[in-house]
Amino acid sequence: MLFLFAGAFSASAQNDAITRFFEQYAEDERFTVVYIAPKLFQLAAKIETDDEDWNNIREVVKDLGGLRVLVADSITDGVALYKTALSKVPTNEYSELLTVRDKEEHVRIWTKDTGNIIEELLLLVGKPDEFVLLSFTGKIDLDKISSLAKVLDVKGADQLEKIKTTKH
Amino acid sequence: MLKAIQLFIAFFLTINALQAQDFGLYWKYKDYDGAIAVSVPRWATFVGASFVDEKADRKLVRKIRKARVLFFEDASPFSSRDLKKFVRKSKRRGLDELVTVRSGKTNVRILAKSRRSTIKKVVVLFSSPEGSGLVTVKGKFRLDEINRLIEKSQKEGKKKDGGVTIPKLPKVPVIRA
Repeated sequence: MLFLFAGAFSASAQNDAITRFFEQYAEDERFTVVYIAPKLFQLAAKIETDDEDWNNIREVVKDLGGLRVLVADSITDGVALYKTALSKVPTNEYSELLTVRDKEEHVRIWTKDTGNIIEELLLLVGKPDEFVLLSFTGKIDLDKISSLAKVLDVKGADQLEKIKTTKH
Repeated sequence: MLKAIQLFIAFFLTINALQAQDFGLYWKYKDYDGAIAVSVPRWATFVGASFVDEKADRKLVRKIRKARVLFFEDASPFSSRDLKKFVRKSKRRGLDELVTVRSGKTNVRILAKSRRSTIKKVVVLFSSPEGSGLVTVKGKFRLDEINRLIEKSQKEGKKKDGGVTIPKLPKVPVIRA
């Protein structure tokens, strides 16, 4: 019975369009794929350090459920990929938080929430030579998530700073 | 008869404990052609620690209970069936997946077993065109100790040429498995 439940859960997770998009490019060598499991965030939140930046984001990190990143920085079809990924986002489940279009750069951020809690944040960046898809899950504090951009050494994560700019 | 059963149970548990560190991968592939298999027992880390200059680093090296390295210069010989078995067994025995990274032809997977704020076991699986293999380290490491080591290696790496490089590890006497 337990196996049945586990099987059903994994099947529903795999049906998720964004997950399928990640899986589609997981083996493509043009892309860099990173997955950080919730356990690492939980462990990282326990680290005692004098680093001021780190201490500021400890509370954000503690509640993060996972991070998936798909990055490509030497491609020629970045905008086309951006448009494909854009069409996969189920707009009935996500609400758009931010849209930026600056010349050839496209940035979109969506959130998925239940009540006042944001459960998922999706960041999509498309430039002619670059593509970034970043997905945070867990309990996300929008006021503090932008501070993560400073410590995350991931291409495209700097776009999270825009959330703070837009909110004020 | 009872003694024989007790002996069998003890033998079974010992075999399981010995293979638990890397769930059979090390034992299966250590005799493969081109494999470099290194096992560092606890006494060796104790001896090796005395060659480490800094006190905090010395303390950390002494905490290593056992370390194993399995390295192949060519592509990874691990079959996908064995890797799936490894993941299944590791989950069952409390080893959590922390990070998975794939960049180009390089794959890195880090798993760890932790309790409160101590790491008890770390397993790293890697494969790249330069080589592939498995590293397992068993011990009792505090998170702040590991963090200090990461910060230190980042600083040392930056000092050299502006970019982050991994510092040279202290030489530790080893026995070949």
